[in-house]
Amino acid sequence: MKLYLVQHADAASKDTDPQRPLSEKGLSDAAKMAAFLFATDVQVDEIVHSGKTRAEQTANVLSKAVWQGKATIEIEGLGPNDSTDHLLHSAQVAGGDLMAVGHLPFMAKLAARCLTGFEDGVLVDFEPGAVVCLERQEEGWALSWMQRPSMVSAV
Amino acid sequence: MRLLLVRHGKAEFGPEDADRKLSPRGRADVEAVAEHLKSQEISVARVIHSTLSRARETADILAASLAPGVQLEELQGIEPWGNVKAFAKLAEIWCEDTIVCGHEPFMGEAVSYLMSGNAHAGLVEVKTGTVMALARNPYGEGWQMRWMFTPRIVRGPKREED
Repeated sequence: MKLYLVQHADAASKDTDPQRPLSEKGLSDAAKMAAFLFATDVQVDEIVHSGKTRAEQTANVLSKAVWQGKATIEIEGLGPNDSTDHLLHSAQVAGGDLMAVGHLPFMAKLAARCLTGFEDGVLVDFEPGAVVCLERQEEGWALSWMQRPSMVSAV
Repeated sequence: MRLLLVRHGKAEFGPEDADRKLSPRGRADVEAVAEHLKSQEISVARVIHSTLSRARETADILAASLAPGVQLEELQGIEPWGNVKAFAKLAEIWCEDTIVCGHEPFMGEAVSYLMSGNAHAGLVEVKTGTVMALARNPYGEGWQMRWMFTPRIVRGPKREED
């Protein structure tokens, strides 16, 4: 099974809008990543987000490319500073491929924990909109690929 | 500084492992990866390969797109069972963007070692033609993954003719 870890795309600053929706760049980056995922034939069984506007918007844009369902799901335990226990457990018991859209430092900690068993040490250099594909194998999780908006051409 | 670690493309079978050539599919995969990286305006100053033919051929294809005019460099010790720690020590002082073409299990072990300090952590799944871009951790020791492609990702889903 696969676990896709996504950092929400670029968002407006708190000063511009306290809700922090995606910026123009964020919307365009999310659309680029959606086109990339579609071209790569990525399909997931579930797509979850933290409930924060920037994560939900990113999840909604990506969901059009990778998911047949109707609405993305907000879950607890995906906040920037939450414990990684909950999502890791969900991923381990999930029957299919899961995409989770959230924040730093959570995503970097979760990626490190899946790969090495420890949260400390930033092994994967996220940027807003980046997608990391981890695949669960017999011996544990391994990195299959990683893509970032700055490496995807405009649609 | 970017370190681009590449596993050679799919190779034909042959009696002498060191002389095995890329298969037509392997060549097409590496060409697609080279073309894709070029379209992202990636270029490198150095292109290094192991002593084995399939790594040299892979380096040759990538160099044509990403490092025109650059002389390929052959490096010993990065063969399939090469010395990961010795390689990491070498790379530590490199300061120009560099491609290194090699093999499994060496490449996977090298990436695991560079990222976590443990060569046997099994952090990556390295299929033929995979490119992994690492950069030094700006806040600490070791290296971080910036992006990672397989030929499948660049060429799109598998088609009948493959």
